[in-house]
Amino acid sequence: MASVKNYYRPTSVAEALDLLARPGTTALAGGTRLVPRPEEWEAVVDLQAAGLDGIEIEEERAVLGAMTRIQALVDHEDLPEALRRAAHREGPNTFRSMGTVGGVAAAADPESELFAALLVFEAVVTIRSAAGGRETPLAGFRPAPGELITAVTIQTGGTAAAERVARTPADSPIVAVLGRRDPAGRLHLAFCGVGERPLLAAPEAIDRLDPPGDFRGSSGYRRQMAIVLSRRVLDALEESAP
Amino acid sequence: MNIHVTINGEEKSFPCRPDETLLRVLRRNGYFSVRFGSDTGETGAAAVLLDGRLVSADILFAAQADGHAIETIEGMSRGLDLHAIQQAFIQTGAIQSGYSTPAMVLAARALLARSRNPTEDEVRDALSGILDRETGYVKPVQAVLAAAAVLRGEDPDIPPPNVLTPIDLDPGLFGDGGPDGGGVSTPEFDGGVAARPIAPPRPKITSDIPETSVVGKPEIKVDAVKLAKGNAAFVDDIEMRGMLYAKLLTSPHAHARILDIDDREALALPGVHAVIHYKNIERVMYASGGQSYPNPPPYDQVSFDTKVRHVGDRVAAVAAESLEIAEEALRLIRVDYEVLPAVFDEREAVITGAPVIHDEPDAIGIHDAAHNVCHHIYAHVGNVEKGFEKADFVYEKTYRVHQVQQCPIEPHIAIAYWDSDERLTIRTSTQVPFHVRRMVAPLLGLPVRRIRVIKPRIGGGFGAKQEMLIEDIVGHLCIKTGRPVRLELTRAEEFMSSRTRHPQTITFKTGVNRDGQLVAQSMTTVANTGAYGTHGLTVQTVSGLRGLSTYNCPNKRFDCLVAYTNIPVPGAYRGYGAPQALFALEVHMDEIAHELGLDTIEFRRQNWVRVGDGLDIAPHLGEGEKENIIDIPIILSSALEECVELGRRAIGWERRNDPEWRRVPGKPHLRRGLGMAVCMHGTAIPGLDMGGASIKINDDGSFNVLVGATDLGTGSDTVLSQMAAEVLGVPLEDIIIYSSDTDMTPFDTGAYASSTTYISGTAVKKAAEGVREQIKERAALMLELDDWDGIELRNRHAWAPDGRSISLEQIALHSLHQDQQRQIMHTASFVSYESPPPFAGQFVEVLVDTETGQVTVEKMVMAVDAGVVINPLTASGQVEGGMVQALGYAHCEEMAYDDAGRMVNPQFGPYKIYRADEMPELGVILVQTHEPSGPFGAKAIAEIPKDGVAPALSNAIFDATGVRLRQIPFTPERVWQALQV
Repeated sequence: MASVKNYYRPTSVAEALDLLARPGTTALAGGTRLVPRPEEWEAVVDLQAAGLDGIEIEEERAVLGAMTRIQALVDHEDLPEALRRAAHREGPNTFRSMGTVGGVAAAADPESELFAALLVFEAVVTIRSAAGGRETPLAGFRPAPGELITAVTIQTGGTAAAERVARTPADSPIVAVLGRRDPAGRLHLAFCGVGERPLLAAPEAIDRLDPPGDFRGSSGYRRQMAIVLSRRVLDALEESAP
Repeated sequence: MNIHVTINGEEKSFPCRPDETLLRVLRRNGYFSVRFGSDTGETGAAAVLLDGRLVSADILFAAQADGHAIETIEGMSRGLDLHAIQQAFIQTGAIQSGYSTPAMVLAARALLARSRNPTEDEVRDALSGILDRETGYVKPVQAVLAAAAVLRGEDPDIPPPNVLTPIDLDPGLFGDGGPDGGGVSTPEFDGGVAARPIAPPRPKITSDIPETSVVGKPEIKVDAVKLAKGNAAFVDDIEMRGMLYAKLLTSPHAHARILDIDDREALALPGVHAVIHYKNIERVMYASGGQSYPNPPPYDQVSFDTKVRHVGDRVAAVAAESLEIAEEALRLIRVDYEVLPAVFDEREAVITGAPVIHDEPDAIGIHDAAHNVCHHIYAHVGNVEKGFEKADFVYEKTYRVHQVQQCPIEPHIAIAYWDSDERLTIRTSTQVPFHVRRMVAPLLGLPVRRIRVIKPRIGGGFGAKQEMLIEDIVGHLCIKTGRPVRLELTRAEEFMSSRTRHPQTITFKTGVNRDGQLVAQSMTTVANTGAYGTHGLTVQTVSGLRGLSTYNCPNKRFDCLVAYTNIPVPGAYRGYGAPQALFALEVHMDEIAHELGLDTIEFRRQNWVRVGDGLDIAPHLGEGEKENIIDIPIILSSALEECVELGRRAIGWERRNDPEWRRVPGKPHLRRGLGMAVCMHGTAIPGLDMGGASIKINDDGSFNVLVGATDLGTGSDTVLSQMAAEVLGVPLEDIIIYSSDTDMTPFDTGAYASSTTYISGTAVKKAAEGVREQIKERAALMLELDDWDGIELRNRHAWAPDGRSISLEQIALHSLHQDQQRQIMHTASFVSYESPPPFAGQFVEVLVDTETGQVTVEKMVMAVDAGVVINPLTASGQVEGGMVQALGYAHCEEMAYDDAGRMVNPQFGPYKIYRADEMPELGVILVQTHEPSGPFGAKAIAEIPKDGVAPALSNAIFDATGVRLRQIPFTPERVWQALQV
């Protein structure tokens, strides 16, 4: 079994991409997921000095550098409240202080309410690779070898609401639903706990979800909760409509 | 590679490997305040500040810290000059075991560097990354708020613990005066500020509460300073030249025979020094529970067997020069298994045809191995069947309690080494050092005299460490290699390879008359003792005792099968059978009251035991199988009436009658409810628990107190010191306590069964009284008095009746150096044949989401009669922390398995324990009585907080929704399922 034998800290994206082209090499963002289970990697490329952090607020959108820490989202008053709240739910302060936007986007943890929030804010992932760059919606994004997430861009307008069910108030959700009505009136509805990763679904598609069950919630329960919670979210969006 | 960091202001360079965590590198370089709780970040015990941000060093490569500034608690104080945050943690009683205190102090430091005026929510958020299994977070939050005030230049406002004596209460309180009756100062919650529990009334001293100067005072813990500084006080905080690292190979199968083990490849790996397994370790049967000699049966374990009986069971162990080499060696051990069918449910295990788990011929004391019946326990009083016939109504219901783990943040860890006298020293995180020494000796083939067991500070135990669990492994490996050997369980091993709480299926059947009088009650239990019988007998006898003692009833019967299954092994867990029994009993009583249309409190009050009542089933349910070692115990003290009344008022019980209160405007799916439970526990095991203490005077009139009692964070060292100081007329600082070391201290059975304050406390009191006599004798000699009867000790002096005094320092110097020299010293021990019960009323308020089944616990209040409170700070801390553990048991903690018996959630997070930022409001009221048999009138408090939350929560959910839940935990889908019916 391999173990991490090399640690790199490139100071530019270009240098990082060169390093990531080597076999057995992975990007290291905050490390909250990777450090406990690094077995499959021989080398890590720590992005802390690659100039990828920072939040740019523009009209109706925000560009979140991939290495922006989750706590920075919580603390940024110009970001949408629903996004900040979801960021706060991403873990206790010890995780938020290291975990990053890019890490959340790459991991696509099925219980990540922050990932779901990024989905409803129409997140687009900016990717760089040796071949150049591309932008792709977060919803369909899968990390690929040799590629690096450099930023996640969201649309900040509209109104949002969230509902969840969990064992305790700060627990990861069994099911969570986040919804947003964008300024053009379109509905974006995202779900945690109903698939392998958080996903967008239209209200009429909820019946067809086939969530994987576990000891915290069977498949049937999760589907039922998706229905209950999405109804509440839609009601809340209705109420807050201008 | 090398990392360069600024650590606590100093430039340092540390060599490290790229795959090493910052935790490993810091500890290797002597920063012992940064501690292991898990390797996935959730415990936060390893928290440090990285450029001022709180990060968990177990999920950070050391390399990531290169070029950055690190702060650990080692940098926060110089000598005795402590930081204001450390001071506040000490003064508020926020430190129990202290294992995670450095992390919490750093969390506070990061917060207060940003804001000197944080809200309570901000404080809770700042502490959210550090799991605390001990305090319920109440006092740590108070500490941070107090420190903030000090840093702002204000006086901190630290709410004192609530200690009441019955005379404080309105005499009309228990007449017809309702919630508004009487204008007395009753505790009230003031609007949802959890860290500020209850406005305290002024305590008055009743005539039978002794007037004292050290006992009864909120003295700070005697070990608080070293723990606040993060000093190297725990098992792992030492460096030993040539130490080897041990790792366990555990079973991947729930039930299998080991046909062969081939260790050749593992032994050939450079750096591997020993591999031990059934082929090279002698087969000696034993029982692992840390209990008095002779250990209760069965003797159904050996160090390494040819059979594995649960996933996580021992297969082999390795000692190597590093953890990595040891882990690699485990992968090279070839084990040939014959997988056998397994059984996990206790009800299925006892059916004929179930897989037989203990078919070894040399096990001793199994009741019926062919049917997996480890024990059959039976006891009765009167004639239950006739009682059922006579009763107006008979109710019968079945309840199920599940498996949880104690979750001490410090996992099991032990280090064994040969000392210069060629005696084996075992430094271990244990609650039972003396039992460990006696029990490990035959397994290692050494006489007891060649073994020394040292218990340093312990990072929590809660019963998991009332066990001889890993000491044999480090002992075997040390003997085999001749080198020091260290074994620390991983968090997953702590779940699967240590000890847990017994699941039980409990059927209560109760005959009751129309007017609410109990006529007959039977408790029929099938208990699950997992793969081994450790504590299986005694936990279940305690279940029967506790389940059938709270209420007077002429006919009682306890019938219990203790079943072997293939789940990880249940053992001792704080509460020890009582939480299981009282969940069933107190939900059952609530159900009967509802069925009969009686008030649930009145129905209980009509039947509960009072002063003068006998606990008639107790003689039949003693420890182990020793029937009739005690007479029927008579209750000598009880403030249960007051506890229930005060708890009722503090929770606002009358709101149950207000339909408006039950609903949340605009949220029709939400319902509020209130529930309660009555609790009664025991104090030590009568006729068995024994503690010893030695006290000697020093040149300056200070005293060494040597006790075998085992402080595992509870504050017992402090409480015992207070008792010694009280008797000897000195302030607490004149007492130097040491616990516990089998070479240095008198025997003590250990820290379990709510025994230390009562048993070890009486031993200390008796030893101090012996020393006091010698001091008085010496004072009489020095003052040329004929007798010393009238001499009193106070203010560090011996006072003669004529007003002359002589200091203890002068007395010490005189006796040690000057005339008729002798060492003033006394040793005493104590065993009790009483076990006076503490009582409590537990109240819970919930909010239930009827569409999702989500239960939110909004408030918990417990009023406890623990006799005279020796230390209100440590006592209230015990209740706060215990209630939160109990809440986890009731609400969200569970060991979940797949079909093959593999635990699917052996990690915090998936195994959910409460965080600082999601706590309900907590209220604790200590109602003092004077227990005549206890030291200074004390009873126990450690375990009773575990007993009432689950039933009170179930009853509150019923109150909110009309749905009765008879199975814990109340996770959303379970509640939702019940709501669908």
